[in-house]
Amino acid sequence: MKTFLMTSVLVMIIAGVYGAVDMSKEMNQGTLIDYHEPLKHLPKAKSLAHFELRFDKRHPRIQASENKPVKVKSHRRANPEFSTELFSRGGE
Amino acid sequence: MSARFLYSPKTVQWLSLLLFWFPITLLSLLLVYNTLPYFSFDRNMPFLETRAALYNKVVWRTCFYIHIAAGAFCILTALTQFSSWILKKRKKIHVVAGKIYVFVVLLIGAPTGFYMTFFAEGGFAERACFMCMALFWFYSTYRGFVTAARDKNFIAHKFWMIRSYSMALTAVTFRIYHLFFFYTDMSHLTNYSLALWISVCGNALVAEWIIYSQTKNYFKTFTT
Repeated sequence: MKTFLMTSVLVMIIAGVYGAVDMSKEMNQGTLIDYHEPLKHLPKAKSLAHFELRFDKRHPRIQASENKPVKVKSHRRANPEFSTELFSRGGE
Repeated sequence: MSARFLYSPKTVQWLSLLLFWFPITLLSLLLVYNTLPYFSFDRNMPFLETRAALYNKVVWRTCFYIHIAAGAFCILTALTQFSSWILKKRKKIHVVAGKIYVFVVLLIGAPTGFYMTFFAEGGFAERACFMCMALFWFYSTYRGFVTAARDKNFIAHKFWMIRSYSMALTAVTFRIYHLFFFYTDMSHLTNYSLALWISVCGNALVAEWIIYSQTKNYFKTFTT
Protein backbone atom coordinates (compact mmCIF):
# COMPACT_ATOMS: atom_id res chain seq x y z
CA MET A 1 0.00 0.00 0.00
CA LYS A 2 2.82 2.34 0.91
CA THR A 3 4.50 1.75 -2.45
CA PHE A 4 1.28 2.43 -4.28
CA LEU A 5 0.68 5.68 -2.42
CA MET A 6 4.26 6.83 -2.87
CA THR A 7 4.10 6.03 -6.59
CA SER A 8 0.86 7.97 -7.01
CA VAL A 9 2.29 11.04 -5.26
CA LEU A 10 5.41 10.78 -7.40
CA VAL A 11 3.37 10.50 -10.61
CA MET A 12 1.35 13.55 -9.59
CA ILE A 13 4.50 15.57 -8.90
CA ILE A 14 6.03 14.50 -12.23
CA ALA A 15 2.81 15.49 -14.04
CA GLY A 16 2.86 18.92 -12.38
CA VAL A 17 6.54 19.59 -13.03
CA TYR A 18 6.37 18.34 -16.62
CA GLY A 19 3.23 20.39 -17.27
CA ALA A 20 4.80 23.55 -15.86
CA VAL A 21 7.99 23.08 -17.88
CA ASP A 22 6.03 22.30 -21.04
CA MET A 23 3.82 25.35 -20.59
CA SER A 24 6.76 27.69 -19.94
CA LYS A 25 8.46 26.33 -23.06
CA GLU A 26 5.39 27.10 -25.14
CA MET A 27 5.10 30.55 -23.58
CA ASN A 28 8.71 31.33 -24.45
CA GLN A 29 8.19 30.16 -28.01
CA GLY A 30 4.91 32.06 -28.22
CA THR A 31 3.03 28.94 -29.24
CA LEU A 32 0.81 28.63 -26.18
CA ILE A 33 -2.75 28.26 -27.41
CA ASP A 34 -4.85 31.39 -26.99
CA TYR A 35 -8.50 30.56 -26.55
CA HIS A 36 -9.52 34.22 -26.77
CA GLU A 37 -9.05 34.15 -30.52
CA PRO A 38 -12.33 33.87 -32.38
CA LEU A 39 -13.11 30.30 -33.26
CA LYS A 40 -15.91 31.02 -35.70
CA HIS A 41 -14.27 29.16 -38.55
CA LEU A 42 -14.54 25.92 -36.65
CA PRO A 43 -17.54 23.65 -36.94
CA LYS A 44 -19.90 23.79 -34.00
CA ALA A 45 -20.70 20.85 -31.79
CA LYS A 46 -23.52 18.86 -33.27
CA SER A 47 -25.70 19.23 -30.20
CA LEU A 48 -25.40 23.00 -30.10
CA ALA A 49 -25.90 23.31 -33.86
CA HIS A 50 -29.15 21.43 -33.46
CA PHE A 51 -30.39 23.84 -30.80
CA GLU A 52 -29.31 26.87 -32.78
CA LEU A 53 -31.02 25.60 -35.90
CA ARG A 54 -34.31 25.43 -34.10
CA PHE A 55 -34.20 29.19 -33.59
CA ASP A 56 -32.59 30.09 -36.90
CA LYS A 57 -34.82 32.27 -39.10
CA ARG A 58 -33.57 30.47 -42.20
CA HIS A 59 -35.04 27.22 -40.92
CA PRO A 60 -37.78 26.14 -43.41
CA ARG A 61 -40.36 25.53 -40.69
CA ILE A 62 -39.83 29.00 -39.22
CA GLN A 63 -39.96 30.56 -42.70
CA ALA A 64 -43.18 28.72 -43.45
CA SER A 65 -44.77 30.02 -40.26
CA GLU A 66 -43.62 33.58 -41.09
CA ASN A 67 -45.04 33.47 -44.64
CA LYS A 68 -48.37 32.15 -43.48
CA PRO A 69 -51.16 34.66 -44.21
CA VAL A 70 -52.38 36.21 -41.01
CA LYS A 71 -56.10 36.01 -40.46
CA VAL A 72 -57.48 39.40 -39.55
CA LYS A 73 -60.38 39.22 -37.23
CA SER A 74 -63.41 41.25 -38.22
CA HIS A 75 -63.57 44.42 -36.25
CA ARG A 76 -66.28 44.84 -33.74
CA ARG A 77 -68.91 47.33 -34.53
CA ALA A 78 -68.18 50.61 -32.91
CA ASN A 79 -70.39 51.58 -30.05
CA PRO A 80 -73.35 53.66 -31.24
CA GLU A 81 -73.13 57.27 -30.42
CA PHE A 82 -74.99 58.35 -27.32
CA SER A 83 -78.36 59.71 -28.11
CA THR A 84 -81.14 60.63 -25.75
CA GLU A 85 -83.60 59.21 -28.20
CA LEU A 86 -82.45 55.70 -27.40
CA PHE A 87 -83.58 56.18 -23.83
CA SER A 88 -86.82 57.99 -24.48
CA ARG A 89 -89.88 56.53 -22.77
CA GLY A 90 -92.24 56.93 -25.60
CA GLY A 91 -89.87 55.76 -28.31
CA GLU A 92 -90.36 58.94 -30.24
CA MET B 1 -52.28 4.36 -2.11
CA SER B 2 -52.98 5.90 1.27
CA ALA B 3 -51.81 9.35 2.27
CA ARG B 4 -50.17 7.81 5.33
CA PHE B 5 -47.90 5.77 3.07
CA LEU B 6 -47.13 8.73 0.81
CA TYR B 7 -46.05 11.01 3.65
CA SER B 8 -44.23 8.42 5.73
CA PRO B 9 -40.59 9.36 6.41
CA LYS B 10 -39.38 6.25 4.59
CA THR B 11 -41.25 7.17 1.38
CA VAL B 12 -39.99 10.74 1.53
CA GLN B 13 -36.46 9.44 2.04
CA TRP B 14 -36.81 7.07 -0.92
CA LEU B 15 -38.22 9.79 -3.13
CA SER B 16 -35.49 12.25 -2.24
CA LEU B 17 -32.84 9.60 -2.91
CA LEU B 18 -34.46 8.85 -6.25
CA LEU B 19 -34.62 12.54 -7.16
CA PHE B 20 -30.96 12.93 -6.28
CA TRP B 21 -29.53 9.76 -7.83
CA PHE B 22 -31.69 9.30 -10.90
CA PRO B 23 -30.46 12.43 -12.77
CA ILE B 24 -26.89 11.82 -11.60
CA THR B 25 -26.92 8.25 -12.90
CA LEU B 26 -28.58 9.19 -16.15
CA LEU B 27 -26.27 12.12 -16.86
CA SER B 28 -23.19 10.14 -15.85
CA LEU B 29 -24.12 7.40 -18.30
CA LEU B 30 -24.77 10.03 -20.95
CA LEU B 31 -21.33 11.52 -20.33
CA VAL B 32 -19.68 8.14 -20.70
CA TYR B 33 -21.70 7.51 -23.86
CA ASN B 34 -20.59 10.87 -25.30
CA THR B 35 -16.92 10.05 -24.73
CA LEU B 36 -17.15 6.88 -26.83
CA PRO B 37 -16.77 8.65 -30.24
CA TYR B 38 -13.38 9.96 -29.11
CA PHE B 39 -12.05 6.42 -29.13
CA SER B 40 -12.31 6.34 -32.89
CA PHE B 41 -9.14 8.48 -32.55
CA ASP B 42 -10.50 10.83 -35.17
CA ARG B 43 -9.02 14.31 -34.79
CA ASN B 44 -11.98 15.99 -36.48
CA MET B 45 -13.98 16.18 -33.27
CA PRO B 46 -15.09 19.72 -32.28
CA PHE B 47 -13.26 19.56 -28.94
CA LEU B 48 -10.04 18.44 -30.58
CA GLU B 49 -10.24 20.84 -33.51
CA THR B 50 -10.00 23.81 -31.18
CA ARG B 51 -6.88 22.21 -29.74
CA ALA B 52 -5.24 21.18 -33.01
CA ALA B 53 -1.84 22.50 -31.91
CA LEU B 54 -2.03 20.57 -28.66
CA TYR B 55 -3.22 17.45 -30.39
CA ASN B 56 0.05 17.31 -32.31
CA LYS B 57 1.90 16.93 -29.02
CA VAL B 58 2.25 13.23 -28.25
CA VAL B 59 2.21 13.74 -24.47
CA TRP B 60 -0.95 15.85 -24.48
CA ARG B 61 -2.71 13.50 -26.90
CA THR B 62 -1.81 10.44 -24.82
CA CYS B 63 -2.88 12.17 -21.61
CA PHE B 64 -6.17 13.19 -23.21
CA TYR B 65 -7.16 9.66 -24.27
CA ILE B 66 -6.00 8.14 -20.99
CA HIS B 67 -7.84 10.84 -19.04
CA ILE B 68 -11.21 10.35 -20.75
CA ALA B 69 -10.95 6.56 -20.41
CA ALA B 70 -10.05 6.94 -16.74
CA GLY B 71 -12.89 9.42 -16.25
CA ALA B 72 -15.40 6.95 -17.68
CA PHE B 73 -14.13 4.25 -15.30
CA CYS B 74 -14.32 6.62 -12.32
CA ILE B 75 -17.84 7.74 -13.10
CA LEU B 76 -19.08 4.17 -13.58
CA THR B 77 -17.40 2.65 -10.54
CA ALA B 78 -18.36 5.55 -8.27
CA LEU B 79 -22.05 5.07 -9.05
CA THR B 80 -22.12 1.87 -7.02
CA GLN B 81 -20.16 3.22 -4.08
CA PHE B 82 -22.83 5.19 -2.23
CA SER B 83 -25.45 2.44 -2.18
CA SER B 84 -26.09 1.28 1.37
CA TRP B 85 -27.62 -1.92 0.01
CA ILE B 86 -24.39 -2.85 -1.81
CA LEU B 87 -22.37 -1.86 1.24
CA LYS B 88 -24.41 -4.13 3.52
CA LYS B 89 -25.30 -7.06 1.29
CA ARG B 90 -22.59 -7.07 -1.38
CA LYS B 91 -19.58 -5.62 0.35
CA LYS B 92 -17.18 -7.21 -2.11
CA ILE B 93 -18.61 -5.09 -4.95
CA HIS B 94 -17.95 -1.96 -2.87
CA VAL B 95 -14.41 -3.03 -2.09
CA VAL B 96 -13.49 -4.04 -5.65
CA ALA B 97 -15.13 -1.02 -7.31
CA GLY B 98 -13.54 1.24 -4.67
CA LYS B 99 -10.09 -0.17 -5.36
CA ILE B 100 -10.56 0.37 -9.10
CA TYR B 101 -11.74 3.94 -8.43
CA VAL B 102 -8.77 4.73 -6.18
CA PHE B 103 -6.26 3.14 -8.56
CA VAL B 104 -7.69 4.96 -11.57
CA VAL B 105 -7.89 8.35 -9.84
CA LEU B 106 -4.52 8.32 -8.08
CA LEU B 107 -2.39 6.80 -10.81
CA ILE B 108 -4.17 7.75 -14.02
CA GLY B 109 -7.06 10.25 -13.88
CA ALA B 110 -5.67 12.93 -11.57
CA PRO B 111 -2.07 13.03 -12.91
CA THR B 112 -3.14 13.17 -16.58
CA GLY B 113 -5.79 15.75 -15.71
CA PHE B 114 -3.23 17.76 -13.75
CA TYR B 115 -0.87 17.85 -16.73
CA MET B 116 -3.68 18.95 -19.03
CA THR B 117 -4.74 21.79 -16.71
CA PHE B 118 -1.70 23.75 -17.87
CA PHE B 119 -3.23 23.93 -21.32
CA ALA B 120 -6.90 24.12 -20.31
CA GLU B 121 -9.35 26.43 -22.03
CA GLY B 122 -9.78 29.88 -20.50
CA GLY B 123 -7.40 32.28 -18.87
CA PHE B 124 -5.12 32.03 -15.85
CA ALA B 125 -8.03 31.87 -13.39
CA GLU B 126 -9.68 28.95 -15.19
CA ARG B 127 -6.42 27.04 -15.33
CA ALA B 128 -5.87 27.69 -11.63
CA CYS B 129 -9.39 26.43 -10.96
CA PHE B 130 -8.71 23.24 -12.91
CA MET B 131 -5.43 22.78 -11.05
CA CYS B 132 -7.07 23.17 -7.64
CA MET B 133 -9.74 20.74 -8.71
CA ALA B 134 -7.21 18.12 -9.85
CA LEU B 135 -5.17 18.52 -6.68
CA PHE B 136 -8.19 18.35 -4.40
CA TRP B 137 -9.55 15.34 -6.30
CA PHE B 138 -6.22 13.58 -5.78
CA TYR B 139 -5.91 14.60 -2.12
CA SER B 140 -9.48 13.66 -1.15
CA THR B 141 -9.19 10.27 -2.87
CA TYR B 142 -5.82 9.69 -1.22
CA ARG B 143 -7.24 10.51 2.21
CA GLY B 144 -10.34 8.45 1.54
CA PHE B 145 -8.22 5.43 0.72
CA VAL B 146 -5.82 5.85 3.64
CA THR B 147 -8.61 6.30 6.22
CA ALA B 148 -10.22 3.03 5.10
CA ALA B 149 -7.25 0.81 4.30
CA ARG B 150 -4.81 1.91 6.98
CA ASP B 151 -6.75 3.66 9.75
CA LYS B 152 -10.00 1.65 9.48
CA ASN B 153 -11.87 4.88 10.16
CA PHE B 154 -14.85 4.32 7.89
CA ILE B 155 -16.71 7.48 8.86
CA ALA B 156 -13.79 9.64 7.79
CA HIS B 157 -13.45 7.43 4.70
CA LYS B 158 -17.07 8.18 3.77
CA PHE B 159 -16.60 11.93 4.14
CA TRP B 160 -13.40 12.03 2.10
CA MET B 161 -14.96 9.94 -0.61
CA ILE B 162 -17.97 12.28 -0.77
CA ARG B 163 -15.49 15.08 -1.40
CA SER B 164 -13.68 13.03 -4.02
CA TYR B 165 -16.88 12.11 -5.81
CA SER B 166 -18.03 15.73 -5.81
CA MET B 167 -14.89 16.61 -7.76
CA ALA B 168 -15.37 13.69 -10.17
CA LEU B 169 -18.93 14.83 -10.80
CA THR B 170 -17.84 18.29 -11.94
CA ALA B 171 -17.50 16.71 -15.40
CA VAL B 172 -21.25 16.14 -15.35
CA THR B 173 -22.42 19.36 -13.68
CA PHE B 174 -20.14 21.50 -15.84
CA ARG B 175 -21.95 20.33 -18.97
CA ILE B 176 -25.35 21.06 -17.45
CA TYR B 177 -24.38 24.66 -16.62
CA HIS B 178 -22.63 25.06 -19.96
CA LEU B 179 -25.77 24.09 -21.84
CA PHE B 180 -27.93 26.23 -19.57
CA PHE B 181 -25.81 29.35 -20.12
CA PHE B 182 -25.78 28.67 -23.85
CA TYR B 183 -29.37 29.91 -23.96
CA THR B 184 -28.52 33.15 -22.18
CA ASP B 185 -26.65 34.48 -25.22
CA MET B 186 -23.35 34.69 -23.36
CA SER B 187 -20.03 34.65 -25.21
CA HIS B 188 -18.45 31.21 -25.32
CA LEU B 189 -15.54 31.98 -23.00
CA THR B 190 -17.69 33.73 -20.38
CA ASN B 191 -20.07 30.81 -20.48
CA TYR B 192 -17.17 28.38 -20.15
CA SER B 193 -15.54 30.06 -17.16
CA LEU B 194 -18.81 30.69 -15.36
CA ALA B 195 -19.92 27.09 -15.83
CA LEU B 196 -16.54 25.88 -14.63
CA TRP B 197 -16.47 27.98 -11.45
CA ILE B 198 -20.07 27.23 -10.56
CA SER B 199 -19.65 23.51 -11.11
CA VAL B 200 -16.47 23.24 -9.03
CA CYS B 201 -17.58 25.54 -6.19
CA GLY B 202 -21.17 24.31 -6.29
CA ASN B 203 -20.19 20.64 -6.09
CA ALA B 204 -17.74 21.34 -3.27
CA LEU B 205 -20.41 23.26 -1.34
CA VAL B 206 -23.00 20.50 -1.80
CA ALA B 207 -20.45 17.92 -0.60
CA GLU B 208 -19.60 20.03 2.46
CA TRP B 209 -23.27 20.57 3.22
CA ILE B 210 -23.91 16.79 3.09
CA ILE B 211 -20.94 16.17 5.40
CA TYR B 212 -22.00 18.99 7.73
CA SER B 213 -25.51 17.56 8.03
CA GLN B 214 -24.12 14.13 8.96
CA THR B 215 -21.59 15.09 11.60
CA LYS B 216 -21.53 16.85 14.94
CA ASN B 217 -17.96 18.07 14.72
CA TYR B 218 -17.64 19.32 11.16
CA PHE B 219 -14.14 20.80 11.34
CA LYS B 220 -12.74 17.54 12.68
CA THR B 221 -13.60 15.86 9.38
CA PHE B 222 -10.72 17.74 7.75
CA THR B 223 -8.12 16.41 10.18
CA THR B 224 -9.18 12.78 10.52
